[in-house]
Amino acid sequence: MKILKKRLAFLTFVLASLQVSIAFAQEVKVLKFEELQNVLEAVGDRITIVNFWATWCEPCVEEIPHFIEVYQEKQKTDAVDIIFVSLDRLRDTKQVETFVTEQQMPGKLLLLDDLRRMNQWIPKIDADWQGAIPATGFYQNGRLLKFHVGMIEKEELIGILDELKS
Amino acid sequence: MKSITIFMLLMVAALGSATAQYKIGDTATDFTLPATDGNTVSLTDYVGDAEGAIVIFTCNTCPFAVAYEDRINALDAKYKEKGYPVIAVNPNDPEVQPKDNLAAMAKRSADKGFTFPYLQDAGQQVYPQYGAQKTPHVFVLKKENGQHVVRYIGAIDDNHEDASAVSEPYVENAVDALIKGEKVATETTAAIGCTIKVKR
Repeated sequence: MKILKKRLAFLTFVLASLQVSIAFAQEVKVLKFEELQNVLEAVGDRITIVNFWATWCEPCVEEIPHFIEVYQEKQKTDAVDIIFVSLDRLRDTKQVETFVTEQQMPGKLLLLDDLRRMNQWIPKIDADWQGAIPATGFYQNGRLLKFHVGMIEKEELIGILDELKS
Repeated sequence: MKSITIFMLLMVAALGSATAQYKIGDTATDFTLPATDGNTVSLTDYVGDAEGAIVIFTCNTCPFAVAYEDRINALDAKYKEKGYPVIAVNPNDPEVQPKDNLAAMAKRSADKGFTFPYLQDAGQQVYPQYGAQKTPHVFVLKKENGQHVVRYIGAIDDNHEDASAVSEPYVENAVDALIKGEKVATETTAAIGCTIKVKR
């Protein structure tokens, strides 16, 4: 009886873990620039953080956990939305999905498969942006409020969000 | 010559805190920076009697920059004898990114057979004046009335992944136009690259 209980407990544990990992297996939506533009234009009232990153970009990977922390903290007070736009290659989508799952990245998870037309869409995101990542745009009601090129520390991110709220 | 170099260095140091970003038509500052062989190289001296230079801010560590190493060598091979030699500058702070220190740069230069000077922007005073935002980032300079005038800013071409599938070789087009005395059709371009590792 004791052994049966142990086995049952173990089985339950395994099933529970599986459930958890399946629930968190994140998919990344692949799109072209025009679709991304639609997503950005559809941003509503809530301030939306749009982070341009890639798995091969060290500072991008370094700042993502801070973005997640701030996003989660903000949900308690004045909620913000978050969109992560990966600039990894299309062929690396699985790698991106593994990463976002491991990091438990929230929000919209996109992969912009449009590197050949970089020169066309980079200036459309922001006129002064020349393509360096990480880069983060702050949107509201379909418009860009602020564009920041480079890593953002946690405190700075909170500061920017507070500033934009007012 | 030495006093001119010192003067230039002082000028560069004085301008160091400026947040100038070059636009097409601006005069680019001279610089004298440490090279991988232990010497220093000055832009003006290296250009000498040539027509101009292809200044490329690049590094050892950014995958986008690394993808272009052979092509940067090819640019130097093609244009050095036509008057536009390549000068590469690594703008990253080696304390933030040790794989971009001078020893690592020397090794990369030797391994890839770089034919151009690979300089370190020690002190990070030069790249902010140019307005380099990332690696790789190209500034094509043309000598006009004794000054180095910026005539192209941006990416090397439109396909970092596949050199054989490039449809727009931006730098080549720009330099070819300058050599022919024609207007550069595409003067600025944007491309994904890595932010510069700034000293903390």
